[in-house]
Amino acid sequence: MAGAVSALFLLDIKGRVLVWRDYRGDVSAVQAERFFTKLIEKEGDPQSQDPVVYDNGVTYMFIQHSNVYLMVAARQNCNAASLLFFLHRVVDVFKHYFEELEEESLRDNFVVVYELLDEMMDFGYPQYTEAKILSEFIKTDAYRMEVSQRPPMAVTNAVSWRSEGIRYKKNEVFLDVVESVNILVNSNGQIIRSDVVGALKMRTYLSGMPECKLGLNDRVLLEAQGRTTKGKAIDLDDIKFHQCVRLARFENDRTISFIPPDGSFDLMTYRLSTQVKPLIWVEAQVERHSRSRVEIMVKARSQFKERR
Amino acid sequence: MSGHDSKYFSTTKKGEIPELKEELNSQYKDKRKDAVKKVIAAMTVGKDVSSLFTDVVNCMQTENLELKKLVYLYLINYAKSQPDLAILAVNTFVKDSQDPNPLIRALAVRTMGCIRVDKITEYLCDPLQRCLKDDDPYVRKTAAICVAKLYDINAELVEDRGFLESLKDLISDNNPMVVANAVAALAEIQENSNRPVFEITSHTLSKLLTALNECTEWGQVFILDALSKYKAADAREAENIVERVTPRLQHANCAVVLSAVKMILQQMELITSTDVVRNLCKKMAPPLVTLLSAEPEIQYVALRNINLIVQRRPTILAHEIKVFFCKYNDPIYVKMEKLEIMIKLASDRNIDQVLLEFKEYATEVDVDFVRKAVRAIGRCAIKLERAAERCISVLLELIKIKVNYVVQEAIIVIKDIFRRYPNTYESIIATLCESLDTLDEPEAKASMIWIIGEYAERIDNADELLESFLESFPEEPSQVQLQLLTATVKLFLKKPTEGPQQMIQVVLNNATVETDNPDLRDRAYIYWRLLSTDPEAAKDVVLAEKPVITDDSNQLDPTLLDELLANIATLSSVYHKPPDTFVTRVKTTVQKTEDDDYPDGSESAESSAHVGDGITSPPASSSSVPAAARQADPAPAPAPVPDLLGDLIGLDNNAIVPVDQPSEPTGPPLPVLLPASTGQGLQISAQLIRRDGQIFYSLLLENNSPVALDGFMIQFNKNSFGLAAAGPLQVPQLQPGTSAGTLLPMVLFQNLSAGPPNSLLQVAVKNNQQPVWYFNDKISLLPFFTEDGKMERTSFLETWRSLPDSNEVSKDFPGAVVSNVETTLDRMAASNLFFIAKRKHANQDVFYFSAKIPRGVPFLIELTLVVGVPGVKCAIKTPGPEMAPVFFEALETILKS
Repeated sequence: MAGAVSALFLLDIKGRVLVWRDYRGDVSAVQAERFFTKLIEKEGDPQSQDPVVYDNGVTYMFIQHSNVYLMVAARQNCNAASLLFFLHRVVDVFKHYFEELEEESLRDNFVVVYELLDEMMDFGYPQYTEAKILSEFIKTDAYRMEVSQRPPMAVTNAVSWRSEGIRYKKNEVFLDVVESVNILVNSNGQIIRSDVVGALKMRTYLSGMPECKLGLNDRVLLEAQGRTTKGKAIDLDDIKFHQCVRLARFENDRTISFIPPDGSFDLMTYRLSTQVKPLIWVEAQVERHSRSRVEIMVKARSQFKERR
Repeated sequence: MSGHDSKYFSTTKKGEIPELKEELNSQYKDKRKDAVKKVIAAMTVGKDVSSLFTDVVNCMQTENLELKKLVYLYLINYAKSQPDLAILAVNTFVKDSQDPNPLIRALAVRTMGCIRVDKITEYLCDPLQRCLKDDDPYVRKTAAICVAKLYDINAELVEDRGFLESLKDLISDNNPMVVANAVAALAEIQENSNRPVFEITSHTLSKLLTALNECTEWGQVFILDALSKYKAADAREAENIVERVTPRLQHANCAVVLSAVKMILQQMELITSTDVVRNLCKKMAPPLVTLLSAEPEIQYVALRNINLIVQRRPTILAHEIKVFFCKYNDPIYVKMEKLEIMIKLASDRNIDQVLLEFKEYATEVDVDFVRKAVRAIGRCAIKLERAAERCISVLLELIKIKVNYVVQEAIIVIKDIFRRYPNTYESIIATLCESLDTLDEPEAKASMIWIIGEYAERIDNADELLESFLESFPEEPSQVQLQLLTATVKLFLKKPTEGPQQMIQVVLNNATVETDNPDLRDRAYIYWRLLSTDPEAAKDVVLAEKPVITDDSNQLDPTLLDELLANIATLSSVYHKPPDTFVTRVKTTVQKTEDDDYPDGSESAESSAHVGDGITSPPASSSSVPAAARQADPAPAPAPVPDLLGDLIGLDNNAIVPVDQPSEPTGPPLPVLLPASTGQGLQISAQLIRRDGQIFYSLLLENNSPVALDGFMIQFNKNSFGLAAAGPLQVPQLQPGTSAGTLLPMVLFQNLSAGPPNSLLQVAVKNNQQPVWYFNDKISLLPFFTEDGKMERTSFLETWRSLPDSNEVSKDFPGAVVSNVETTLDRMAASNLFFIAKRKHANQDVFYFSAKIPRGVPFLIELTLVVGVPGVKCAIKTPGPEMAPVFFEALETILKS
């Protein structure tokens, strides 16, 4: 089942290769480009729109970001989920470096792009995608290059997302909860499905290697501690944690403990499939009065309670 | 942090290379660096700058890390084209691998591993050995992957130099990242090795499970994927493993989640306690659902996997069908997959909601999606008996919208519903008939005509309806013509009045005289004769009761499903195909011996085991060759020389295989392809054969020359079937006057040649003493017929009908004679040509056979003959009519043998 990709391509909107990194020497750029340009041309054929396509012994997986395609080519049975996710991570890293990932920024920074591709993937295996740490030893400005004489400890540490020796005069943590509501309404105005996707967004400015713990009014935790759960306790079931959270510990005693990365990140995301009323209800009515007169009535009604 | 590198792309066209050459040799550092950047820019846009090799390599010795990386990058790209010059870089590489800066040490080893030049590989060993024991984990983790690189280039070297042991030691490394990379490297090596390299014992298991908690997300994926092959000893161990893996379900990286799901599903097979299983199912549901809020590409992978998971464990997501409802802005590939899962999860409990959704989708704009939605309604009707009526009423509502393609699709599925529930819903026929004029697609038309014919007695104006189609009979596609013919006959048998009688005259006339479609003509003649000789018998035949159909579409075979579930998250699970059907990497070693029973259920191991059995079972002598003996061979096979052989014959050099061990040939004498007179005393006889479901090239080599011959290698030129060696040619040193036979496992579709199929197979064999010998073989289709080629009579008929007549080819074998039907049938069966049916036609016997060649291409065969009289007529129908000449050659060998 082991599987690695043969090459990674960055292509322009027409499918021409901008930059590519050959990892195994068994898929050529010409071959990939020829296939991919053809693929983009026959838009509309549903089969060709799958993000995983097979052609002549090679599997191509790709994603699009602004006017750039990121694509990997593989000859083995590699882990598709991992590699597609990796491509999204590559986008994040490039965005961290160049602010915007697009054709122009890739051309303007092709030297760094090559360096990053070399560091993020080796022999077709994803290696390291922490933008913040990468930028400690791969820099765009050449003269600063001389400073870093060794890879940051974080690259191979168990805590791969945070460098040592961070100092702040003032130690601060900010925590935001951002929730979005997804509602599926059918044409009769009936709510078929509704869920809330939330994220605990953290911004940390802490010194050293701080051990953090976060307590929530988690029903399971409160019950385990023998405390009353009536009122405000919530059910945490479908949660995803940032890689800094010790998952095994959470599984054991429901403690969310972690050493946070420096700066902002999503500590956890969750999904609640509770019934939610749409926050704003919009109704539209179209009436044709005569050949030259149409009346469109749009009614918007807020349905959430005022907070005091 | 934005750069301005784009300026390097704009260089003057004229005199570019000399200019760069000058700049590369400049005495100023900055100028040299700029020049290297320009070279890399030129390389990036695809210009050939390999002529600057020496000049670029001269810039390699630098303190500037950025410049060094660029030169290394250049080397990776061009070393292969300049192998002699690449050696210039070795010194710097070796020096860099001892640099005080770990970044440079790692960079040197990483880059050296990427340079696939034999000469460099030799020099890689010492630095690699050092780096595997480096103090810095960053260097060790890079070195671990480098072992896999080296194995890919020269497996023998890795084994000889003890790198495998060093790699195994790294599994106990104190750094989790090093452990993860070592696991990835070992797993890859195992995949390509015939020996147990990477055995997961309970000891390694617990070590890896601990490392799991600490390594990066990508490392976690490597470890989980490797561990999913581990077979727990008992239910208790399985439960323990699951317990340690379950926390991964909460990871933000969806690849970690899917790999954890894979591992849990694998272990669940062993767990007997229903409570535990139920609990695990409950735990897996929410993470799987959350995957659907990931990026669309990942949703796609997740959905393809969920499709598999619900086939094995339907309960996991039984209550979650709503999350598969399509969002308006889902990409089409996500919508299509969601639809498929909705059909799988539809039940009596949720069907109302599901139908509402399907109905909604059927009014969307994307035509393919709409069609699939309509079909989905039909499949639900066939699947859920109690909901069938509701499904049909939705279909009728859709027909009333009168959107052309919706109506046509609906009619196609309603035909299937009639087949599933005969005599239940015919009341809706009237509604269907209203849309008759709008039908323009052959399948819809054919379906409608089938319905009219089947229920002619209940449709008052059936004759009028059919008559309206008859006018355009000659222009209709054959699918519709065939249905019209049958429907008219049914109508006539049911209502033998004047109108239908006239119609049938017209149709039979059209179908026999006017058409050049033999399929249609044959069917028309059959009906004609039946009707004219015995109308009652005609009724029995034409109006016979049809078997009820079931919905088994898109259900996978259980063993295939098992295999796919073991491959969750990988491409195999996305394609729903076992890995060996699309993995094109040439495996260098295939043979497997008895003592190789490592606890590893991987597909590659299984398939190679199969091959091994095929080789060794008939003569017991060779099966006892232990792997150790082979390794201890005092004269190891020389390294392959791909360029020489490849250049000579002009083929890809991906299938060159060295020679080492003998095995006995079996069966009748093989045809001599290279006579001793041509081969300076070496005689080669060979033939393609099929054994245990595998294709082998059976070879016999006889040494009549005065010298001992060794180092045999074989290579196949591109051919119509893409035949290539799947493993090494196993021939020992041949002393003068001795011979050796071997079975060489073959794979298909490896090096396909273009153009129409032909049976030419060009083979090259070389040894260490003689020049390369070329000879031609004829590919017989016989070994290609697969064991699963047997068709049911009904599906045979359906396939025969569904194939257009352009796919029918026939040929006479005037010389062939069948004197004993039994033996001929046996002989055909032995070659996987399966007997389906027999009928008499005048004094002739007509036999029907089916066969299949890989990639599922079926052959439907009709043999017309008189027993004992020379002359056999054969007609075949196949989706690949271009194969017909090759097929007939194969058939002839059976008939004449």
